[in-house]
Amino acid sequence: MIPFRFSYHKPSSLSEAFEILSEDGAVPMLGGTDLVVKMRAKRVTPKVVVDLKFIDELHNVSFSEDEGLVIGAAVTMNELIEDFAVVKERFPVFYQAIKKVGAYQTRNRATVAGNIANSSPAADSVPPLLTYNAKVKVVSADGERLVELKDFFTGPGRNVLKPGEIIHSIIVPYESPSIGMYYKISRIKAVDLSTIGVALTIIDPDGKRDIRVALASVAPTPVRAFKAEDYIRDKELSASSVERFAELVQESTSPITDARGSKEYRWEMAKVLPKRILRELGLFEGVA
Amino acid sequence: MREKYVGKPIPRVDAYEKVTGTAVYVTDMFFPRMLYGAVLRSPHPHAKIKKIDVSKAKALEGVAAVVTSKECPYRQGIYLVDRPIFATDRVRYVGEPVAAVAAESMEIAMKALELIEVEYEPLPAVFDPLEAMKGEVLIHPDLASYERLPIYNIEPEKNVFHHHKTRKGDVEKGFKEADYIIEGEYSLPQIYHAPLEPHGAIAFYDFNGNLTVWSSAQSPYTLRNLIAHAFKMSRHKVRVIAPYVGGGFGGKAGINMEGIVIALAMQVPGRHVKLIYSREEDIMATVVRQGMYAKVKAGVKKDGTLVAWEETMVFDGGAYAEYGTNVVRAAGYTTPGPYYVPNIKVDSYGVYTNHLVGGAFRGFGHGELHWAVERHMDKIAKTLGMDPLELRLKNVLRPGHTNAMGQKMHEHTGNVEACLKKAADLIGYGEKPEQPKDRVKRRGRGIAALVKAPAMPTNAASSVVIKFNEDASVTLQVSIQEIGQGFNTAITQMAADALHISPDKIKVVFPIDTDANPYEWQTVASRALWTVGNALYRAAEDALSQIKNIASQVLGVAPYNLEVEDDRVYIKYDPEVYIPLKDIVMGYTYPDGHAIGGPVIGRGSFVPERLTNLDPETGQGNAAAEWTFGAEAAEVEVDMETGEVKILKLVGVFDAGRVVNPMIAAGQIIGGMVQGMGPALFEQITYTDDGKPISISFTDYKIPTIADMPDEMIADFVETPEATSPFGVRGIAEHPMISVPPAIASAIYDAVGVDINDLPVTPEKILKALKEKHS
Ligand SMILES: Cc1cc2nc3c(=O)[nH]c(=O)nc-3n(C[C@H](O)[C@H](O)[C@H](O)COP(=O)(O)OP(=O)(O)OC[C@H]3O[C@@H](n4cnc5c(N)ncnc54)[C@H](O)[C@@H]3O)c2cc1C
Repeated sequence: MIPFRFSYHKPSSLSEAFEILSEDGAVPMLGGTDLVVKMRAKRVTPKVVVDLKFIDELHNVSFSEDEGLVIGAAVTMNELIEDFAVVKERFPVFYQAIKKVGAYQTRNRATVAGNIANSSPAADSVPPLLTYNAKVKVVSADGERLVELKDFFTGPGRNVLKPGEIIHSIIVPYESPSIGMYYKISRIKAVDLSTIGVALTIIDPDGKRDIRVALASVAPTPVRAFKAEDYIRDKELSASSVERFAELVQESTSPITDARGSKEYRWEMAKVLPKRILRELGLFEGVA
Repeated sequence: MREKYVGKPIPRVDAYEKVTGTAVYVTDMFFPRMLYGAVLRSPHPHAKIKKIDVSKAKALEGVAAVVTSKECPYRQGIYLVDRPIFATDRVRYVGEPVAAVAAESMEIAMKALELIEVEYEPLPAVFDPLEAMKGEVLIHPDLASYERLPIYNIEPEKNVFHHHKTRKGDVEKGFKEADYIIEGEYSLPQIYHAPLEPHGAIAFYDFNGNLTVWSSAQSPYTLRNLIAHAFKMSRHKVRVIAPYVGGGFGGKAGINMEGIVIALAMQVPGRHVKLIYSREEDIMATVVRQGMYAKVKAGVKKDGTLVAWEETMVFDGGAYAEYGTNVVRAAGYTTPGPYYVPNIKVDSYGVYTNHLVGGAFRGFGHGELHWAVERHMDKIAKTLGMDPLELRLKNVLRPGHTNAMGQKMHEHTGNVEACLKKAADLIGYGEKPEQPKDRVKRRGRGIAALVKAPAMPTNAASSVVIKFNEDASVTLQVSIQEIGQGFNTAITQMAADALHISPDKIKVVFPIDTDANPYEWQTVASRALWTVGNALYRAAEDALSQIKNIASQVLGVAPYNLEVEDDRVYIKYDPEVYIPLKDIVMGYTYPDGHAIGGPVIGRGSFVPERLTNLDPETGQGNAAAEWTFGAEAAEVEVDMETGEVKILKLVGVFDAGRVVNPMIAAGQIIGGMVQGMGPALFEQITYTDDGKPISISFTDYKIPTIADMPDEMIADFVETPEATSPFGVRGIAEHPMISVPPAIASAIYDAVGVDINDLPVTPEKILKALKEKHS
């Protein structure tokens, strides 16, 4: 049970939502899979909960090669990956990561926007979105702005959203075909947060071959390993180059110890997993 | 026993209720004008309570009662009465109840908790049982004055609530005869039962001083007994009603949180008070499995023959002893498990710490003891260069041997050798598993044996009442709780065979009501089919003899010439001459109207035969009624880069005596093996350095999910009929969980050559060990 009083609203338009959100102690809600858990534990105690699920325009999903994939904030993870084959076909690493969020039941409610807005360092959908250069469309009564996902997070549970602003949609630009893998280590295989999550995406694998890496649960926010990417760009994937690449990925992290794993283990895996993924993708022969 | 229904995979009698969601649990129950309870808990692992002020909470509108140790100054405990219902002068763990509130709504109750002011003075705390044994911090300074059963041996100055000793033969002499002396240390943390349904109870106190408690309880009668004892009431004034239990695993045995809601109800006679624990409270403030540290020294001959076994086990009992007293005892008298060793010295200590309260947990000390014993058997095999299975087969208990408490093994005691061989066969022991192409992943297989007897008082009693109805159908009254194990189905099958009637004609009375159902000690210890089977057999004999006596008068033949079958009583040598059963079971009425006999009610009761307490200095005696042997095997795949372990296959084989329902028994084994996977690989209660529990929700306390299941699980049986049961049965309920961790650890060694001796076997531990091995 939620041990305090709050009012619950389900506006059907954005303007109505902005109005209620301007009330003191108001918070937005989508699937509620983070919010309700936190309310139950009294880690957040909103006075007003504004459920955005009943706003039609937040349910839109569209894709074109020019505009990319646009995901309305209220689209559940299961809707996204089951109803839109384009996700799996064009953004395979994102698809894999979503499949690793919670369990099927969780994904019936959870949204990508909620995963981003919650701004946990462990958010599984974020590392692949970082590798795909995703942007967040933010709206408020005063207008809208586009924020690069890489600039969105400011710390654990913190982000650039100002009071009254909400996520409207996520835009994932389409550059070219991609391959890759999301490797998540967790204590159990479902319904667990990542001890570490590594997204390695190769944009245009048969052409310019741009290797991108981002990680969850190894820093105060999800991080992208730009230095490692710069290093490996245009290089042969040899034992020594991959080793250096993996070291640079590791150096982009600053893990801590928590209930899910130690700092040392995360640090080590931050180097093991990028190599591992390249090997499993068949791009590199070496065995650690 | 003639078998027609025993041995058949009959569907569960509670299946429809459970799958349609109509089965009633305590949380589903509502009463008019019911109040809601909530509990204020200690934030400190060890502190003095200087002051409690409840005045503001009492003044809040909608609050009906506030209770602290002032109103309820009672202690509870099954074997050692050490646990106050509300902390009195001090708190001893984070989560200990300090006060409770009953209010018109949950919301008001929660609000009232915030208004209670408690002043604490933190005391030095101790979390490591080895440290606690030094006695620098005394958690129960008054331990010596607590009421306890005399078979428990306290050492108050060391925080020890029970020290069990086994002294068989002469270990020193054994070590002299040994070619090798092999030592090892093994440990495991506290773990949580994680039943689907958290603890919950409703209490109602009437104006005549009668108390009724609805509780999710494994032991309705023992609960009644412990309530009456704690609250100093006459047994007949206390009534316990126990609807379905959504998983117990030992955590709902005896008395738990009921005292709190009873104390509230006593303040508001005439009103029901309901208290359902949240998941956090269920983890923090009921009981968990004790942690354990063990040190083993074994003497072995060159050929692998065990000649001496010396072991010290130290259990982290947490703040209160609970069933832990008897867990420590059972682990003490069973070590070294299923092996014959002529010279044994075991010291098993239960130690208080400021951790969460340890209690009964499926396996009752045997998961702990077998972790040490089976890991050590692997170490011995490695030292001798012997195959681990061969070492085990060489040393298993066989007919003629004596076990650690000096009991003689017979042909009918059970066959661990057959279990080991069958499990080895089913896992493909001996052949090398096919290795994955990816060279960082290696597969291996491991095997471990086990044994467990019911850990119970020598006089743990059972009874059964069989009531015939007008149409010769039967209602069966027993007080074993259906906690998911399938008891109601299995006992129906056994009653059908004992009474020679169809199982469709039998109903097991449910829920259990201590005002109506006959006495039963508890639903624990894997003993129900064995003990109730005995009582049932007697009750059936009683009922059949009443039927035959009446029929003998009507038909003019001796009772021994009569037979009951389905719906009739007939003359054995002339089966065409019979009386319909329905014409007898309410008494027989002659055509002229006069009647004889009366309603048939069969009565059977049972206490274990010839059990004795153990000698306090040597641990020798006859404390175990029947032993169930088993063997479990695992195949795993270890990722040498990440340390991740995938369990590919699990096998469990148990000497069940007689399998009453193969479908339910297999389910029990598979469930138990899965429950063993968690502690093997990831389950543990974790704490901050200053003793605050971290893993008190499912975010941080992980149990296996469907995604973690092995590709294959096999449940199989050996059937050596149990001579002390008319049905030949013995328990298998707890056993499947016991040796899964050592089997998995053994398979990990087989795969990648590292031994982890401290549970759980996490990826981090494996990687660390791999590094140490390669450096
Ligand atoms: C059992 C379980 C398992 C889980 N497993 C995982 C896992 O494996 N990996 C993982 O990453 N996460 C996991 N989670 C967390 C959670 O499911 C995800 O973070 C999910 O994506 C959150 O989405 P939601 O729609 O439910 O968000 P909500 O809970 O509705 O909202 C999350 C936060 O965002 C705010 N918010 C909501 N909408 C907006 C908006 N439009 N604009 C701005 N702020 C907004 C809310 O106020 C809240 O603070 C799990 C949760 C549960 C309960």
